[in-house]
Amino acid sequence: MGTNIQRLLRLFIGGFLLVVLALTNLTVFQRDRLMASPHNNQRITGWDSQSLRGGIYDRHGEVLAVTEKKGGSRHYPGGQALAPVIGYLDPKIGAAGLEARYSAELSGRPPFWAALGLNFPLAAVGEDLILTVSKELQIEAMQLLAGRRGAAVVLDPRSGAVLALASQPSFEPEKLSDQWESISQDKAAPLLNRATQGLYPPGSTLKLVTLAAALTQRPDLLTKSYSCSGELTLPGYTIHCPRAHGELDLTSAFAVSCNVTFAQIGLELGNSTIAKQAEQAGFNSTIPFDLPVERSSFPLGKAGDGETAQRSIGQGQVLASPLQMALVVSGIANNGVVLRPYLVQERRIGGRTISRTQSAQMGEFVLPKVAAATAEMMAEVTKRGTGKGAALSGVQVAGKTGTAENPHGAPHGWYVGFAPAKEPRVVVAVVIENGGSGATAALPLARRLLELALKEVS
Amino acid sequence: MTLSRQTERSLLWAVFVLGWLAFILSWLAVPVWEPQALLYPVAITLALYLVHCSLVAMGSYADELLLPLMAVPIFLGVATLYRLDRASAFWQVVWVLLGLCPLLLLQLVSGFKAWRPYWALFMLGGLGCLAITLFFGTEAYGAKIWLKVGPVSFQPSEPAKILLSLALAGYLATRKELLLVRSWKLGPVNLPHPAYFGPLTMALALALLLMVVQRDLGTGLLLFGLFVCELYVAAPRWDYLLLGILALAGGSIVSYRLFDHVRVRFDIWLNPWEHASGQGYQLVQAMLSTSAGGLLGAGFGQGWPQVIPAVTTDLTFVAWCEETGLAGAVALIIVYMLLVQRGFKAALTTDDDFLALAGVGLTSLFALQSLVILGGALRLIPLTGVTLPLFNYGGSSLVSTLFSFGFLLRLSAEGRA
Repeated sequence: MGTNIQRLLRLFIGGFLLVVLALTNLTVFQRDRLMASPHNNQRITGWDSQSLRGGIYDRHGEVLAVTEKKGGSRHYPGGQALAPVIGYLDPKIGAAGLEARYSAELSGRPPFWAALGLNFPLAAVGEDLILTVSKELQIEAMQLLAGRRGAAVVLDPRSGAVLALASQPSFEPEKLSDQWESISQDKAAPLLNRATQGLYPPGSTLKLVTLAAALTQRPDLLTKSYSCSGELTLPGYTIHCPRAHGELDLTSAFAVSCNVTFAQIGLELGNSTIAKQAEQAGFNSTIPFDLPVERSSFPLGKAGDGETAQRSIGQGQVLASPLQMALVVSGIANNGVVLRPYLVQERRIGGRTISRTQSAQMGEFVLPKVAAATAEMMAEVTKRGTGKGAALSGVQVAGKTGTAENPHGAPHGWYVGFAPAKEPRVVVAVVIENGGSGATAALPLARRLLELALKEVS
Repeated sequence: MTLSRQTERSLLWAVFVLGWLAFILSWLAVPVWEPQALLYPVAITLALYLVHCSLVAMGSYADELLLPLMAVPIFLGVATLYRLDRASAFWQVVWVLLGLCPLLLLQLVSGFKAWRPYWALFMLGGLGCLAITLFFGTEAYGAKIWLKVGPVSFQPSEPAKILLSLALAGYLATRKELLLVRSWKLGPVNLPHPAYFGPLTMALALALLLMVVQRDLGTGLLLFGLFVCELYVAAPRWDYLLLGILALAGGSIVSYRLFDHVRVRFDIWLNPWEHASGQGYQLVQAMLSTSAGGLLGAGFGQGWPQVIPAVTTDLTFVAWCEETGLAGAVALIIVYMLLVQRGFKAALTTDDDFLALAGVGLTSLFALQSLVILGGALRLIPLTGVTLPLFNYGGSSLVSTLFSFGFLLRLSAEGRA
């Protein structure tokens, strides 16, 4: 009996140790994530009243969010245009976006302090955030999207700095609690950040991934000749092209966005090769970012021919967020390396910089020579393909259109691209929900954004 | 040899320092201080010190670590409650004073061994307590487990757990060998002996009945765990115990399918965030509060644990976590581990099977109850409304836990004398 009692004791001790592990997980590892939760609003606003909350500024020092006195209300001079980036802080509703993610820092509790769990503020004045976003570009992006449902992401592929992150419809953060009833129940979901949390079939923009996989795994496919009769019948599914493209090489097939050719290439490569290529750019995992991100997905494992063909042209079960597609393009634009996207450039206390974000590698999408070859083919899209309309004077634009079939009505229009085609400085990804073809719905917006963004970064 | 119980006294002083510090911190956190506030720590200090003096006066040989260890969660529990809700703290102090009386009285009793033959009586008493709420109980928090006598609410399941634990100890002590050796042959099949099978089946039935009829998942789980622990210590038959556990799992799955309230509990446990604004609110807020504590906590009186529903009765520990952090929480858990160790040690000192089993049963009950609520608050298992013994607000639970520890104290004294 004695030994049994000893064993039972050990079992209970084991149970208590398990509790200690779970506690450690919650208090140490999950803390940042949980404290930023919208369900934590009472605690956040409670903490907030103890200090003067820091301001949020754009890359040129324009005010985006400010609190005038300790415990005072929050003002957003950018209004609804900046809401997808800043989010909101409302004593009744809670916090979201950067306001939630950086709540500790903004209210004077730097991470090391907060990690100790000390909730009273270290300083009477919180930290200020300096963003990578340009207020002017953001407002322009939001105006371009106004009246439609869609999103746009503009970033610098050389650093990962996000210049604009637009999502429409949006909301007025200062009037949130007055309009909460209608906003939270609006079918158009103004609270949803479509740029990071909207998942759409990427359509032909995914051919970038298929192309990258082909150039990496099967260089012989580059020199092959393809023929398109306008449709490709597979078990369970038929792939269509708007017209028969006839005999064509890979560059032309990409330029005219030939579905039949890319379905054939997809079948040659197999589902898992394309899926793995997509994963190199962040698919099937959560992109590390300053805002909550929905995971883009490309199913792994064996798939039937019909499914594989659909997925290789961005249909079927492939889903991507605009941010995700911007990262695919930024990998191509940055010699194959995808840098971690970020919104907060600096954190300051009283004008003194205490932390500056360094660019960090998120992953290697392709080898530099594959990136260069893909970039060239993307430039051909603008020269003679579906993306002709994106051409800018004096700057060569590389891009890809997409028209994604979906069960909710008219196709989603996509455009992803970068400029200049040689030594790119800006990447753009635009999606217009049910906007029709990418070339007519998304491309004009993307062109304008590229033009403006090139002035922002030199 | 004089029995001055020096170790006990020194340790108690250390606990008093700790408890007073907690009170002083929560006084600093409020704008207005009233002299009546002194009554809470003074009453607890005096009561515990008097228990110590009485033990000295009785010349008790009882384990000198038990009382100071118990004093830690009692004192800190009252301090945490004081910080959350004055009224709860006030009543908790009253219950501590009331509960310490039976604890002391038990020290005067000699010859617990003589209780063994009355196991059937304990059993009837325990089952009676459980049954009584079915007919006269009032419903609160979705469970029909309260008995209202005049102004006082009372949870009969608390004494029931102790009575059933003693009953099983008596039953098993008289049939120990029988259980281990014999099996019941039915043709070619070796069935477990009914003597073993009986209590196991009963535990199973009780657990499921409590879950389904009284909507008290916590007590059901506890009683089942208690029976398994005692059976294991008396006669370890892994196969049967495993069978029992599988049956419980099966029963849970069936009741999950059949009964809404069970399903709701499980759904909240599996996907708390989906129900974060509704039925999962308590669990989500508890996790957020625990997490908010970080390593060292917000500081006593500085956190926001008030947002958690039923924080005083179910989740006082979570408030403690938020305000003292991982460090404070682990320290408290270590005290609970030591209490369990001392309880088992008391059970090991006696050479009487009944007493040893009773000691194991009461200690297991304490350990299981602690684990069920700690695991529930941290989402290791579904959250049930049992209290963290000695720490949470809850009169019935406090008094019966103090009774258990009175028994264990006396047991350790008998073993050493």
